[in-house]
Amino acid sequence: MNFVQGTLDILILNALSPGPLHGYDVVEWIRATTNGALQIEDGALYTSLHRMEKRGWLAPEWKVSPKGRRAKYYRLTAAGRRQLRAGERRWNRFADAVARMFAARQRA
Amino acid sequence: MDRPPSDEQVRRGEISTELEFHFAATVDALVARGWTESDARVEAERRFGNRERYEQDLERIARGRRAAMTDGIGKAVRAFDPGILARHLRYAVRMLKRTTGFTVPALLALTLGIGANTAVFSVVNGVLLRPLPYADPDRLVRIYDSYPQQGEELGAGGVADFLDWKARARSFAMLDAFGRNRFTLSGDGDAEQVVGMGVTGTFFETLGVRPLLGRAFAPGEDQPGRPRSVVLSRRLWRPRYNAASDILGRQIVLNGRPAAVVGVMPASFVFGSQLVELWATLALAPPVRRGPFSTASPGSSPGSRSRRRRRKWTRSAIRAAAAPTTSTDSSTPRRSPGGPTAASVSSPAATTFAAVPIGPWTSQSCATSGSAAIGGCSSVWTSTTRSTPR
Repeated sequence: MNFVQGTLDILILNALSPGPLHGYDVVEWIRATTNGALQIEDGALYTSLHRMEKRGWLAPEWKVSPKGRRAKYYRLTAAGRRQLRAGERRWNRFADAVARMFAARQRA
Repeated sequence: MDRPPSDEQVRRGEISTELEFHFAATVDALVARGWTESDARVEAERRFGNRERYEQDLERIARGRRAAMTDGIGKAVRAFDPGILARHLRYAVRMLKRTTGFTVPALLALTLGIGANTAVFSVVNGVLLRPLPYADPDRLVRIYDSYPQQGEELGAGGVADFLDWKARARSFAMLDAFGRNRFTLSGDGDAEQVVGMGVTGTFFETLGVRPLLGRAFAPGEDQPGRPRSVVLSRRLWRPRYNAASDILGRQIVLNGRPAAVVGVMPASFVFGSQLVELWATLALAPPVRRGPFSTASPGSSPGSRSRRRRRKWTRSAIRAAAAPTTSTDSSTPRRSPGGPTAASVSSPAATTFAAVPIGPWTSQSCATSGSAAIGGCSSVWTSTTRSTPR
């Protein structure tokens, strides 16, 4: 559970790294880039967003959307960027280790 | 009259606005892809999950300093995030500072509790749990001279007694003398005072310990007239001689006389005190019993008391000279004057000897009584009980 939660945080931070997005855009971005492989409820994304906002990794901005509705945008803070980098490193290490493990099995 | 909305109301409003926007956007997107509006609504709700529960979660997160805190601690510990951990520790310290009435007694109770526990455990560990670092600790005993007239139950002994016991007592497989002393170490590098022990030839054999390097003393190596041999402790060998392996056979200068290093003891070997840094052969020559009597003649010193004592000594010396010892095994050996220790010089004629088992417990008293021994040359003896024939 915690593993999934941490992963979700990184995905969201990654989605926000080019620029501020509102919640729905984040959901769509993740669905599009992962081809729907991650079975996550939209609600879970919002808890993740709010938690990271509380921790100061994200800063909220209320703006009017292109369609004229009031929407809450999230912007990556400096702390959020640090978290993203740290998370990426953690993930790469992990993925690397798993890949090496499989490679070792094939050789054996 | 309109009251300004509370923080809570503002937060709730923001959450529902945000989620409303999310649902509207989702439905719009689905409709744009050809879904009917009612199907799109159902799909949006399916994708979102339990809205009521999520809204509660969001409110808790918004409200929840505490919820976020505990969550953060768990995360920080699991992910080893030093930043979050430090923040929580600072918070904890602030809270403790604010409630000094609780913090101080609690801290005090913890300190005393842990301290007392540690103290008790170290005693129990040293006394009961850890065996003596010798081969056959249950067969080791320590022998004292007792001087009832001086009120000294466990006192240091004299050379003559030791030599007699060694020659005649049959209850012990081995018998060795040791005495703590300060030695001046010179010759190589700076002169240095070290705590050492003079020990008789089979001392290490009696304890059943082996050196780390080289050999222990050989029987007979402690004969009077032979140059001294020395066994170093690891504690001395490492700093002073840089742990040189060619230390064996090297000549060092002990109290101004040459001595040959024959071995190095491991750090685990402790006898009497941790301070002891070397062991040197203790040459015990039989004391001269027919000494120059003039110094002990009754009229030679003032004071009737000391005159009387001297007369007594003289008598006992004559008796001892006539019949060196009447003692066998456990009978009472006669003390003769002239041992090298202050203890034996100031002690009266009659002595008894006691065999005291050295348990881990008495090894503590061994350390203290060793250092308290008067004069401190050849003060006390160890021995082992005779081995049962196998």
